[in-house]
Amino acid sequence: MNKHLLDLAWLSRLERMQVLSRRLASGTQVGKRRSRQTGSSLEFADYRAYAPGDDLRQLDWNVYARSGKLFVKKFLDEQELHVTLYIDCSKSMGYGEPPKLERAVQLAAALGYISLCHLDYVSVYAFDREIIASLRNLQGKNKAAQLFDFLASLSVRGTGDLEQALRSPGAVHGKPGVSLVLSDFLFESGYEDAIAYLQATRQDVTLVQLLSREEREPAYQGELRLIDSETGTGKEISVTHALMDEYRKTVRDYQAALAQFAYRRGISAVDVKTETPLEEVVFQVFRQAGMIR
Amino acid sequence: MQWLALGNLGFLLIVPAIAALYLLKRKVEDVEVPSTLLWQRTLQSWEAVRPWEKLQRNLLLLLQLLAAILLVLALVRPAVPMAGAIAEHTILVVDTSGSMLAREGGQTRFQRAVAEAEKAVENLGSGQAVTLIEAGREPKVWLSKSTEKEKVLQALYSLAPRPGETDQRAALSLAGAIASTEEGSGVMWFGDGGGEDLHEPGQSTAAAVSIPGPFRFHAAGRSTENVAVGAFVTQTGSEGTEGLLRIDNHGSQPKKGNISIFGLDQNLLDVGTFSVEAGASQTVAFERLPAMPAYRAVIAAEADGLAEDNEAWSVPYGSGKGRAVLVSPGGNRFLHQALQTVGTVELETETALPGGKSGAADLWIFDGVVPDKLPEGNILLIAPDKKTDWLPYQGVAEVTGDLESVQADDPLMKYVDWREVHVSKSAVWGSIPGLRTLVRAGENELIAAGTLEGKKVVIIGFDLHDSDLPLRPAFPIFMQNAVTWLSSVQSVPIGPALPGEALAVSLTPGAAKRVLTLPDGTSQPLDVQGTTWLFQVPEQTGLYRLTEETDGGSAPVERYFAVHMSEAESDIAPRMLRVSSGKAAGTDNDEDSIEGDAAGQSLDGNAQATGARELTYWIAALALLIVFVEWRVYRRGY
Repeated sequence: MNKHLLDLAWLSRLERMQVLSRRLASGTQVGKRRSRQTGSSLEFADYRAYAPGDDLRQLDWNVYARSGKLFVKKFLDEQELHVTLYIDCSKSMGYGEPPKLERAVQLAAALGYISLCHLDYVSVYAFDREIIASLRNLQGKNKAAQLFDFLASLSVRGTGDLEQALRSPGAVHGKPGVSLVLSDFLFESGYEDAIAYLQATRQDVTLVQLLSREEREPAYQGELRLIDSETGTGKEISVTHALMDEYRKTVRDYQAALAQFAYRRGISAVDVKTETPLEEVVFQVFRQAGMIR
Repeated sequence: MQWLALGNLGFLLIVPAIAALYLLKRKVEDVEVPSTLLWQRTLQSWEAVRPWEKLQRNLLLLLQLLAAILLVLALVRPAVPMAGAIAEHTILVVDTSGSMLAREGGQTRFQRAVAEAEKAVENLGSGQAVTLIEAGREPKVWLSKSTEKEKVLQALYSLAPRPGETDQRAALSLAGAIASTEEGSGVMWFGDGGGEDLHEPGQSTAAAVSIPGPFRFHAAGRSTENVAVGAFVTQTGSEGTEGLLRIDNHGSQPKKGNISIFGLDQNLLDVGTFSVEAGASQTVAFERLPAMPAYRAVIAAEADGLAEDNEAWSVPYGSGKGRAVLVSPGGNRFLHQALQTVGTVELETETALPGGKSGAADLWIFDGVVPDKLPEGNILLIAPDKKTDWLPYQGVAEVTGDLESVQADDPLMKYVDWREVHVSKSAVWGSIPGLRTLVRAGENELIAAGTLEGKKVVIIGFDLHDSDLPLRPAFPIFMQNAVTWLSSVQSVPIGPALPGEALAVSLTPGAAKRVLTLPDGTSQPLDVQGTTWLFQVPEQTGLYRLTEETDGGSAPVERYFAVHMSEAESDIAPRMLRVSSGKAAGTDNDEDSIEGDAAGQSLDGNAQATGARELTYWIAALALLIVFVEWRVYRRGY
C-alpha cells in the first residue's frame, strides 16, 4: 500500500462512510441496499472489524470464539452499486501545492476505499484525451491494495479532453451507478457534452472540481507570457490590478457556470481547493455535498 | 504660431530614446500555467468591455512620450503672434498732451493709448525690451530697456495726461536717437498726433523725422468735434468791464451752446448763446460786467470732445491803471510817446504847473518844470531848472565822458543799455537824502531815484532834447522801468500763459512775502528776489493768484493770471505721424487708415520681432500634469 496515498489512521474512519447514490433514493433499489445493510442477504461477502455501534446481531461469534476478536459479518447484496471514478491525468493536473493530481488520487483512494468497504463495485479510469489506464469492477476490501497501487501509479500526461476520453471505447461500463469525475474541468473543448453523455449512461454523476491556489489567486506581476502547459500556446498579459480583478471574476464565473450546469442537469458539483487538507475535504466538504454519509 | 527656439527641436531625439528603452525593458517573462483557458476568457471579456484597454499596456509609454514631446515643445518656445511690440527693443512713446484728454466713447484718448500700450507690453515676448518715453513738453524717458513687464506697466500707469502741449518733434528725435544706438529697435507711438503739425503743408508726404527701424503709429481717437474758448479778453472800461469771447469750432459740424460768465467769486454775471459754423469762430461781446479781479467764461456745447478747453479765465486788461499827469510846458513828443507806449498809466497832459490843489495823480511827470512843493503821487522829474526846498539845484554843466550805470541790478536799470547814449549837458544838484545815483557820467550825476517824503522820485537831470537817448533802445525800456516802478500798482499785470511754459512774473519790489496759489487751491510761498521771476507754469490750467505783502503793512497786493490750454491742443483732429522709418511697420500712407484699428495694421516682414504670447510655461505645466498622471497610473498599476 502506498503510504503517501492515504493515512492508515483514518482508513478505519473511511470504512464507516458510505458513498451515496441519489439513484437509491427512489425506486426499488432503495430497499435492496438498505436490506443489505441490515444483513438480510444470506450471501456472505466479507468480515469487518467491529466498531462500537454496530449491530451486535451481525457479530460472528464463531470467529470470536476462535480468535477472541470481534468481527461483523458482511453479506453480499444482490444489487451491487457501481462506483466509477474518473481521474483527469492531463498535464494541467500536475500543478498546485500539492499537485491537483495527487489530491485527486487521494480523494479517489478515499472514495474507492469507502465503496470497497461497502461491497460496491469500484472502477477507476484515468484519462487525458483518452482513457490511459483503468481498473474495473473491483469489489471487496481486499481489492483496496490493488486500487491503491493503481492510483499511486498514475501520473500526468498529455492534453485533456473529457468528451473525447469518455467517448473512447471502454470508457463507460454500461451499468447504472455512481460516477465521480475528479478534474479541474479546464478543457478547451468544454465539459458539458461529456457530462451529459455520462449522465446518459445512467450514471449518477458527481463533479469534483479541483483548482489550485495558483489558478484561483495567481500572484503574477509585470509583463508575462503565460504558456499553456497542455497546448504550449502563449498568452501575453500585462498584469494590473484591474486585470487581476477581472481574472478572479472570470474564475468565479467559471465555477458558477459549472455549478449552474450541474444544477440544471440534476447532478452535484463540488468545488475543492487543493490546499484544503484531505481530511477536511472528505469529512466535511464531501459530507456537506451529500456525496458520502 | 511661432517657434522662438526651433533649434531645440533636436531634443526630440528623446522620443526614440524612450521608445528604445521601452523595447529593451519589455522583457516578457514566460510563466507556465496549468491552463490559459481562464486567461483567454478573462482577456476576451476584458477587451470586449474595455477596447481601449489594449492601449493600456502601453499607457505608461504613451504618457512618457507625451510628456517628453510636450517638454520639447516647451523648449521650442512656441508663441502665438499677438499685436505686440514690433522689435526686440521697442520704444514706446506715449503722448500726454492736452488733446489726449478728449473723451471718445466714455474714455479719454489717453486711456485708450495706455490700454493699447498695455496690450503691447503684455504681449511682449521674452527677451524683448521696452523703453518708455513720455512725449510731453520735453520728452522724458521713464524706463530704459526694461524687460520686466511689471515695471513697464507700472511706469505706464504712472503717466498722466496734462493740459500742455507736446513737443512731438523732440520726442520723435529722442526715440530716433535711442533707436539708432541699438540694433533691432522699433518705435511705437501712442497718441493722436495732435498739437503742432509736424508736416508742412507743402511737403505733407515727406517725413518729418527719420527713425531707423520700424515705426508704428497707434492713433488714439478719431473724433474731430470740439468747441473751445479761443480767447477771452476783458478790459475795464468806463462803464464796467467789457468782455470779448471768441469761440472756435474745430469740428466738422455746426455747434450751438450756451455761454456763462462768472466772476472770481463764482457768481454768474452774464449768460449768452453761441452758434458756430464748422471750422469757424464766433466772437461774443459782453458789456457792463461788474468789476472783478478776474472773470471766467464757460461754454457748454453738445458733442464736444475736449472739456478742458471750454473754460477760460481772464484778468481784465488795464486793471490797476494809474493816472499820470505830464506837465511839459515845452512839449515833448518823445516823452509823450514813450509814456503812452508804456500803457499802464492813463496819461493827462498839462502845459503848465497846475495851480493849487489839482488832486492827486498816481504819477507826476515834470518835464522842464519844477514844482515848489511835491505833489501827491510819485514823481518823475526831467531836466530841473530851478532850486526848490526839496531840490538843491546847482545849475547846468557840460557832460563829459561816457555814461555808466552805477547800479546795474536796480529794477530801473534792468535791460537798459547806456553805452550808446550821449548827453550834452545836464543839471547838477547836491546830494538829496533818500536818493541814489543810477547813472553818472564822469563827475556828473545824471539820473537818480529814491524815496523823498515817502514818495518815489526819479530825477533825470538832462533834457531829452539835449541827448540822443530817445533814439536809443534804452529809452522805452528805461521809461517802462521807471513808470512801472513809479506806478502805484507797482507791476504790470501778468500776462496769460500756457501750461508748461516759462512765464516771467514781475514782482513788486520790496515785497516781504509772496504766495502763489494754484488753480487747485494749493499755495506755495515764493522765496525769490528781484523784480521778475521766471515761473515754470505747472501743468494746470485756470487762474493763478500771486499775493504779495509789502513791508509797510499795507494790504497785500493780489494779482491774477490765467493759464489756458494751447489753441493747438484744442484742435483735437487726430493726425497721422509720418516718419521715414527703416522698415515701414504699420504706417500706412492712406490717410483713411487712421480710422482703422491700429492694432489691426499689417506687420510687414520682421515677423519674428512682433509681439507674441509665449506658451512655454503652459506647455511645461501641462507636461508636469502628465508626469503626475503617469505617476498615478504607475502607482495604481494600470
